[in-house]
Amino acid sequence: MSKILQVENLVQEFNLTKDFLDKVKFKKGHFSLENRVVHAVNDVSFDVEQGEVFSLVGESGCGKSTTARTIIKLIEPKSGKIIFDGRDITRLKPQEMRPIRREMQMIFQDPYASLNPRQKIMEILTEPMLFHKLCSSKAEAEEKAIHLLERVGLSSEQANRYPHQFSGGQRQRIGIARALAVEPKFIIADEPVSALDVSIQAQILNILMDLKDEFHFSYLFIAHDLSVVKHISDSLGVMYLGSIVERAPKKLLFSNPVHPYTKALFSAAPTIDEGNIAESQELRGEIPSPIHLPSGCPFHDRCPVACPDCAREVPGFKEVEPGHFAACHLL
Amino acid sequence: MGEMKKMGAAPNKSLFRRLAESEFFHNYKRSPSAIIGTVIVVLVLFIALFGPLFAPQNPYDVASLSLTDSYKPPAWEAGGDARFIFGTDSQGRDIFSSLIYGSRISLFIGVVGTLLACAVGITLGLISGYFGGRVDAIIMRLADILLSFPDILVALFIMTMFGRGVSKLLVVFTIIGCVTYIRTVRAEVLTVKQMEYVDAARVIGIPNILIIAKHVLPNVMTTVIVLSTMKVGGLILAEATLSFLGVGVPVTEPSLGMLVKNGFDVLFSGYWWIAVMPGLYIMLIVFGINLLGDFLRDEFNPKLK
Amino acid sequence: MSETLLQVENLRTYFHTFRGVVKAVDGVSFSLDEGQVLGIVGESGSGKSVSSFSILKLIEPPGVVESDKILFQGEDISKKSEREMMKIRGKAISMVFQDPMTSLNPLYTIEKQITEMLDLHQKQMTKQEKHARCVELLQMVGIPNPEDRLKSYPHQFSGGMRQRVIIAIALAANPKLIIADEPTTALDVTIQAQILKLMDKLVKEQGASLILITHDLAVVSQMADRIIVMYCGKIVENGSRDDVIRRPSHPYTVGLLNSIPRMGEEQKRLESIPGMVPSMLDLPQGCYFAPRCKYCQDICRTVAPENHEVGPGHCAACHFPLTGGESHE
Repeated sequence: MSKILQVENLVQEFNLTKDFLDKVKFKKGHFSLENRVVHAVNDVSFDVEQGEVFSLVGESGCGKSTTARTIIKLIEPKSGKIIFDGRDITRLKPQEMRPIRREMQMIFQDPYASLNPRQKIMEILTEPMLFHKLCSSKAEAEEKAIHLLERVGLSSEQANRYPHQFSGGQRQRIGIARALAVEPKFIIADEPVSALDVSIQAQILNILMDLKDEFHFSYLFIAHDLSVVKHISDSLGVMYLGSIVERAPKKLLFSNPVHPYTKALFSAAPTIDEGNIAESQELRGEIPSPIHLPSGCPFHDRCPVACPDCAREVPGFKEVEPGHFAACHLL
Repeated sequence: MGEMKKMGAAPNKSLFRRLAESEFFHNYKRSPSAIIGTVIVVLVLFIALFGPLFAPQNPYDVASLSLTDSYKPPAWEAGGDARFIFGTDSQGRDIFSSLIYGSRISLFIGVVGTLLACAVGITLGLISGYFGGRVDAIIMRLADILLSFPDILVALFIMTMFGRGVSKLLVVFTIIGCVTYIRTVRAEVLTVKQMEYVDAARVIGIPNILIIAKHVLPNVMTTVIVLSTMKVGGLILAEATLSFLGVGVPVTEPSLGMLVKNGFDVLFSGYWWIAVMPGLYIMLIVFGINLLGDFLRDEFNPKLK
Repeated sequence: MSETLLQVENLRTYFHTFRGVVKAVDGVSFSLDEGQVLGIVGESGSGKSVSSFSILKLIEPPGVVESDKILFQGEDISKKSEREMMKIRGKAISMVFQDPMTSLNPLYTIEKQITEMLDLHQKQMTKQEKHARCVELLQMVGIPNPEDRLKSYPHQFSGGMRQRVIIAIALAANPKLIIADEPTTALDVTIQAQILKLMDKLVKEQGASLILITHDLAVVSQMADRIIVMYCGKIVENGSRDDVIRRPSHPYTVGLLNSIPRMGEEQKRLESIPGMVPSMLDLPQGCYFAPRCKYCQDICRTVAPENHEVGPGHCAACHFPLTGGESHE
């Protein structure tokens, strides 16, 4: 099976002190120049096989959304390589990206911000089709749009309405339909159910799984909720402070998590049938700021089993079983 | 999935019905100030557009004037003439008719000036907000510079270089008036730019120009509309001030402000109606516009909901 | 033997809006004992947050709050004036809100904000005593270096830390009842675990009671002694934690439990509740859940269900409450 996406050593940073004046600081009696850089993504590498669902999981600030937005070139990567369907798209310019954009699409997180409030649903759905000239006429595009709407569980009369007339779950369905409009090979879903109620989440996840089976595309799924990704993923990567700390196929990761952070994440996720809260394992401390990354392993200051090496050296990936990788010195 | 078809938003209605049933119209009906404002504005517009058809006199038709009619006080005062409701000026011109003709010029300048300032301001605001970086810095510094010039100085400058006239005055107002638009539109664009639907358009591959036109601009228009209503009133006042000071419209095109000036010269001789009537009319127009503008601004402000 | 701390009877909060009357809370009755943790669970629009705001009279027009009675420590607080309520809020009943980013005033130091609470409700304390209490509170909520951190401003704290400060403020005047409205929804999972554990510990130490409002059944299943499930302004199920989680009786509760992806099992498709929550302006006749319920029968569509007792201390508002067979283990 070939790979639809290969991400190699991706790095993304945001410089908060672009202006000269922002850099000037007055500390302890004298002036100095200081650069404040947010190290959002630090040397991230992973692959997505064709037809597979790969999920990136982590808490806020871990860099998963930034990684997704960099891969789809909404922001230009600082360094590293993005190889999509065999083609290196890292340095492509917007005009060159245009034909490739037909093949990779995105579903966004906030159903209340991902649809233009001034556009009717029909227009939202036909816009990408007409832009990429996938239909010979507007009428054809409109017909396709109605099919898409029905495929995601809405009705054709609703195509003439505006987004504000729909609920969060319905808007998310429209967002999915929009992503499908250009018949992409690869879809990045950036926390598509986080903003929805639990019962609606299940509906949307089911739609996403059904569509994948029907249209055979590949997914990069971003989420912070482990239980959500368990259903939809084939493989997962757990991220912390801009790095992937563990990466494995679903069965292996859920049956045998090895990285201390992954284990803490599992333990912290509230589940039914678990015992009382007083007995759960607790991770101490706060998530550090990505501006001042801890030295060595990013997790060492909160890790319950950290050793002196952890603060000194960044751990590399070790293969703990075939296909199952973790970045920890203690393995 | 079949059950979804039964559920969904309300059935489609025509635009007129949607407007009539909307919360906007509901609040409008209940707001005395909005209704009064609308009545005033509609009346003023009507007078300006169709006034010449029923004005008792055309004050610019020298042949219809008679010096014997000069300095007549308003009709309800002693010595007044029923023909001239608000009295006459030094040339025998009917003040009431002068108001009608004068308002045409004042409103023309107010509305067209706003449209021009709006067009320039929106364009610069969109570019500044969407692209950011150096372009943004340059445009904002330009706006700061423009803002620091007093209107009078700019007017004097333009007049000296290019002479007087309504078109020159419009240039002045475009230059001064566009700054508020630039700043407000830029601020709105900065918010809209963060919205995921803009990201979605970029992910589709749509180029920036089209994104600005189809996705950013329509979402900025509500603020622009509110700003524009207030600006028309502001420009009418600004024009009145400039004309009063002698750097506004030329004498041949007497706006309401110019009428006030003419009346001011003889104000202390006791002929108060020549200056006061146009002054009151300016007040009425701007008041009506402000009432309407206030209502629109409160209605369109999502934070007050 | 614990006493009844709070008894709410027939609480109704109606919002008279331009488009119609929204019955955000429609006939809600429940009680809470001393030292108990009550979980109120519901999705958006269920009325869970509005209920607690209503108890504390924090609802503004066009909302109108009515009730038969709200007994707190034996006294009917529904009849109290705003001045009297101000004495209760913060002192006897305090609240923890959802968004830690906006719950603290960015212009004042942490110490000032905690002291504000003490100034209002513990007037007899001297300045030094108040300062000592601030330090004590920050230690209780697990903030290191409390002396230093008292001088900080909210923006210098992370979300989790801010929520701890808010909990400290809520506990400052030793309230008997704390209402926590989605206190961890805006926080990351590992921080959420910390905060929940902290709240659990503190509430038990103080001997106070807690009403925990959330949409997350899993959270409530770990913390609550009793659980209330709300849907469209009404309580659909009310029982002990075990009863509601292991022997759910209302089809909505069952649906909610089933749509949570389970960590331990292999599931091909998630069971979901079909359809959507109805608009509060256009509620169906009869049982509000009927259009989405797979056990719906004719009577459900026309007659609103009564509360049926399905076990000791366990009721469900359903014409055909499920008994035992549908729960999962």
